[in-house]
Amino acid sequence: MGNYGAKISRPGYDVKTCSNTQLIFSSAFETMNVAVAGTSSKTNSSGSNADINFTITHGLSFAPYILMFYKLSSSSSYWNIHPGGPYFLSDDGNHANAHHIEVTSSNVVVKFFYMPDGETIDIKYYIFNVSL
Amino acid sequence: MSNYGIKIAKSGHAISEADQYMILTSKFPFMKAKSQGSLSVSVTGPGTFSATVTHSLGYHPAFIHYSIIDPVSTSDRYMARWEAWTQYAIGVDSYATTSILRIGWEDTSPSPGSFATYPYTAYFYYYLFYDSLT
Repeated sequence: MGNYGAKISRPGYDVKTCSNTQLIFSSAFETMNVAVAGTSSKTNSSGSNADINFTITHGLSFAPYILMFYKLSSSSSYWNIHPGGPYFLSDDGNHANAHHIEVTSSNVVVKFFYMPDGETIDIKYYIFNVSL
Repeated sequence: MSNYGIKIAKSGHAISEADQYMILTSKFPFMKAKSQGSLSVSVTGPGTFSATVTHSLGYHPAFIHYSIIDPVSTSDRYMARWEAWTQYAIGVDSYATTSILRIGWEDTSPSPGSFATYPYTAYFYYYLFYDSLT
């Protein structure tokens, strides 16, 4: 028995003959279940530019895939996708507007560097039940 | 009954094993895609160029996108990318409002360009989800 499992096709497609991209679900492939989702918010009240870190304890036993969004109070109607990746230095050597994510088997740490005084950062995160 | 639902285990694993060995478990939700598609902007010189997708959700939806440029300097497709090369920034600045998804491509490199030679086209491939960020 070489073809077994569960499949659900998109409307208008025959589940027996359609391509993988025309499926909503196939048990042949790993799915991106959301294991943990949540929000958090912090404000820089230090009186000067400062780094703001968020630490999310995910409770999984592996380093997971994540999807992260953030909103700055200075751009109150915009939710940006977090670029991840390493931070960079601006011309004056500051971590201006730089963001950084670290993922371990216990935590996700989100770092916002050199945030202006009074800036509030809201984050929304999706942590998937898929190991890196 | 505290343990119920649907589970499908990965090949070689049993459904009694940990969640990470499941292909699917109804214990966790899926992100639900509302739409997917592609956009492009013509990058004619230093600056920021953007494209938008209109949605009618009335709230801030989650999204994800990848980028590629043509003429292709690399075949890689990038997730939200931001880089600083010496004094020039090349990056993607994307966000969702209650009515649109906006994807902006910024390249501040002077002509002829450092990431790619002007003019070039940046393509964006996106998924927009029903899942709300707020």
